[in-house]
Amino acid sequence: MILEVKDLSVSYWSRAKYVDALKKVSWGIGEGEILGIVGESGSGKSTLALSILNLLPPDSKSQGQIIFKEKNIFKAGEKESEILRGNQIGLIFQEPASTFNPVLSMRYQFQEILQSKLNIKSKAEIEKIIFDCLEKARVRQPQRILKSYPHQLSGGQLQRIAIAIAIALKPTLLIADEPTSSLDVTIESQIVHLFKELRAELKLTIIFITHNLDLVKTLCDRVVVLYQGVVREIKAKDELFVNPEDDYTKSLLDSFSQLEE
Amino acid sequence: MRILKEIIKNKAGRIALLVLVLLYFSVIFAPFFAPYPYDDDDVLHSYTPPTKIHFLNLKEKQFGPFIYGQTYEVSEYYQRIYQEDKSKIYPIKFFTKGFKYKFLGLWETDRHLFGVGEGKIYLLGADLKGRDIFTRILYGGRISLSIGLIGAAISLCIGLIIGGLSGYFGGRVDNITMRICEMVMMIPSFYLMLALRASFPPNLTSTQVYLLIIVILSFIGWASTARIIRGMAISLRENEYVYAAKAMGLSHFKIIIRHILPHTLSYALVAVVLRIPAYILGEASLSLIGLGIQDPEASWGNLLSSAMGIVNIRLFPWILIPGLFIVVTVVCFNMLGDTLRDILDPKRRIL
Repeated sequence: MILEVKDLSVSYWSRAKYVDALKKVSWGIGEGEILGIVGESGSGKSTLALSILNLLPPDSKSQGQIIFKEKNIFKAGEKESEILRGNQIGLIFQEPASTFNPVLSMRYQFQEILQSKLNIKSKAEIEKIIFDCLEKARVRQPQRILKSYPHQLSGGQLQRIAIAIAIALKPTLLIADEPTSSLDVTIESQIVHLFKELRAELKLTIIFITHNLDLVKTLCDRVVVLYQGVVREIKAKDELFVNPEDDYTKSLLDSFSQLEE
Repeated sequence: MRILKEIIKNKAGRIALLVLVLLYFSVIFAPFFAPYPYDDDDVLHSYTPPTKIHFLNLKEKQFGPFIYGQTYEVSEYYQRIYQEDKSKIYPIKFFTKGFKYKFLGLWETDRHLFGVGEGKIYLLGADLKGRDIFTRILYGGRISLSIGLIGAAISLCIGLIIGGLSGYFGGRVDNITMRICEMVMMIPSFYLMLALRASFPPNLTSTQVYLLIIVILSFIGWASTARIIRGMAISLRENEYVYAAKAMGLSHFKIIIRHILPHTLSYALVAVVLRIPAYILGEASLSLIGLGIQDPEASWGNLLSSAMGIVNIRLFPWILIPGLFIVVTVVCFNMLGDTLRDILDPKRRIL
């Protein structure tokens, strides 16, 4: 197990009381695995991603443990957390259009991350890494794209660049928080394929958060079903689709298969 | 560059910018434009009214600007009444030689824009000690105009840092800094200024006083800038790219510097330009009541201090002219600030 979540509970302060976002959630992910986390809006998927990176807002309360490489993430200090984020665990966001600073060029933003996270000073070396990673993320015309600003690029291109930046830091674990929800269907399938290829090439472990069962079917090895902050079912993908045990999973799969027919 | 073009397109902005550039230009090259040194007193010309410039001399068939010499007689109330002495004619020469000074502090020269040789020319009259008010306005502008810029720049820096930190971190940091801000803003600024000035010894050199005034003014001014920046930082920190930067593990410092503060700059710029008049007026009021720049050093505030008595204003109205410069500068900065605000307002561009 590269990452293990043990009895994690998170609650947010809202209107004079704490509201539970996650209740005693436990699961783990092995090296090289792609784990799908499925659930509807408000089921706590994004909270899960934020707590793995120790980025929960200050007005929240959390209990339990998240063990990453035999270390409890919640116990890490500010410096350690900074190294953890990016260098060890990468995060891909839902909205590629807003994950970049609108007033800086793509090249500047890429360089900024590399310079401060990898401590590389030489310009040539940084350039080499940038082009290398852009190629890995299958970005076409890298020269033109590096010169552009975020608003000049399409969602698919931006998401590929976000992935390129994430893998440039050579993380062992990549968390993708609904990375394709705001993209159209053809781009979606391309990005999903990209994740598959990246796992093979870079031996990445990927946590794929989504509400789209179709993607789970093509991409994931195992699936965690979340509902209202509680884990309803953890199963290997093939088994889940054939033989669901939990009532909520059944109804979820039902609605999915109805659409298919 | 684009902003500059838009300012020039706007009528009010164009005028304000032109006047301000002219003022700063003439103040930077004050020794060149000024006919006399700033502390060059002459008892024989105490409270001389502005010298009349003539162009046509029919007697000697001369054409060109010139002035007559001056004599005075004492009236029954022991007041000097100046008259032109038509027997002496001093033509105004341009790029003439005068007192020696260091041009921009680099090399020594004695060229001046104009001069009258033996005679005395007082474009805007003279003060009690017979010093040229025009010259003193130029030299005083060096202090008054630079205090505005430097003070505003310093309080912008403090405001950016404190506002950025307080807005970005929120919570307790925010609470504490904002309460301090409110405490500074709570006290009427003029009394705070007096109290701060009073807490330092009175017998300081001009340079010390100059620095002290800048420190006092920026100490008073940072609070309002910090509050504006803090408000913007709070809304900016909710942007997804800030979360992305955090998730990438960038340090808080770098996130504030690169992803929060640059987005507040256009607004902060407007706020600063609109605040510069407050600094100019602050210096002027301190100097006016004798707590700022001291004689013989000139500043627009202490030039006005001789105009405090009603008798002086009645008899020698030209000593109020430095006040006119303050008014013009303040109005121009306000006009420029308003124009900048219109230009940088994103809503206007859509319309």
